[in-house]
Amino acid sequence: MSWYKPADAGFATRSKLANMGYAARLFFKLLLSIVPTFRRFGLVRDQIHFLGNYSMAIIAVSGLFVGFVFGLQGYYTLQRYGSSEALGLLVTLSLVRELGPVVTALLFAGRAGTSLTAEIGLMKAGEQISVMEMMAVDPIQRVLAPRFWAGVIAMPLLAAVFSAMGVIGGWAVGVVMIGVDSGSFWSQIQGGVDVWQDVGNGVIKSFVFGLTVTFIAVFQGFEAQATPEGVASATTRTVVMASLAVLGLDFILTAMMFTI
Amino acid sequence: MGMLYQFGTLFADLSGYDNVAFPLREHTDLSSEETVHDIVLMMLNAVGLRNPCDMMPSALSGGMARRVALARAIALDPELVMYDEPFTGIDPIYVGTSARLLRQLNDSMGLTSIFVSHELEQTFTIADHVIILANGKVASQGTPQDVLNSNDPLVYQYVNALSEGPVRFHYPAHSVDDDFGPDAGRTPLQQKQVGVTR
Repeated sequence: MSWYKPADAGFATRSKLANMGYAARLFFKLLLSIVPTFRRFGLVRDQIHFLGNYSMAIIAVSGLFVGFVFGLQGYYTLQRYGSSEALGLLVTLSLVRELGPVVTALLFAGRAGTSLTAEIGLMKAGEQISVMEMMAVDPIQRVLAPRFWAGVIAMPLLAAVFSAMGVIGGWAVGVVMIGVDSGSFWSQIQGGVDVWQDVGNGVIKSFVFGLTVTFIAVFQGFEAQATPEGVASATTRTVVMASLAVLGLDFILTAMMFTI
Repeated sequence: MGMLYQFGTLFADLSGYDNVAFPLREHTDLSSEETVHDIVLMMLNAVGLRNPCDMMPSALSGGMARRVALARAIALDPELVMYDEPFTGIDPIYVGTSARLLRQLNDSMGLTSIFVSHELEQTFTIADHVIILANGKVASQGTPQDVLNSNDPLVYQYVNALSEGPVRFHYPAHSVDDDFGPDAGRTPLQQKQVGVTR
């Protein structure tokens, strides 16, 4: 295909638009599926267990290490200005407002998003989706919706775990290892972090990232070619698109949160 | 309507029991799990797999998985069941058992069963009506005996598994002279040019 041939360019544009339209329709279908999905909460619960609990270890360990690094880097910079007691505030604000939701979403895309795409893609390749359709069971309602809502619920909780572990990591390095005053570390956090402005914004971000990452994962799985190569490239697309979407959306959300 | 796929196609994340219970849980409002349990065990008993019902599909053999899938296909007491190659890729003991089982289920449940199969022996044993499709058309149809006695050369070749007949072993190709030898793979023009330079 060559871009300079008008017919080819038109075909490519139309197929891209059709794809986007299909994705948007699926997204709204999934959003509207909230009531019937939560009526059968058992399905969502199982998926929260699968997506959330199994991602807990990687999220907690990553959060701890990010906290360690923040403790070191933050202390190094702050002590130049003689304000090393603000270390707790620096670590907490950066984690709660920015790094917690973003890094968790990136890790979530790699850990849970890929498994969702591969699972749904393989169900399609193994004809399980068409078996469901033959039984007059809507695969969007039965397979996609519980996974989608489970991801949306799990993501903010995982981001909270990440931030909490990060603060503990910062405390371990700053207070226990370097010797920053424990009282000022915690009181600065208590005084400087606003529940709505800081924690609230972080929760909104992680919720939006949860919607984005999980939707991309289930969409890519559902649209994957029913072949080994198709599932492989769908899994790759999930990570690439979800990561880019998270970073792009983070900028937009941050800009909106500062201006509004 | 129920359908049995070629390789069973059980839901890999559900046990054999849950696979059979799946259509019941999705399409009925049976409030008591005991009723679901009884129906599932009845269906599994009909296909001879009442005992290993808690095994996951990955632990079942191909024939067992297909029998569980059959139990799932008949769980909602359908009027019509379609089978896609029910005898392909399973051991000889089970082929015969399976054919009798399908016929038995058909009669006892009052079903209409449609098979797509290349396994003629078993199909002709249990079928009431056989249709042979070839080249997008009905090549022959009727009772198994009618089809076996057909004069159509294509049907004769098919039911007698002959290597020679209207369907040839070799796919249509260039002549042997074109494909082998010094001029192999050259167009007539290229052959001419090569001839000139020589």
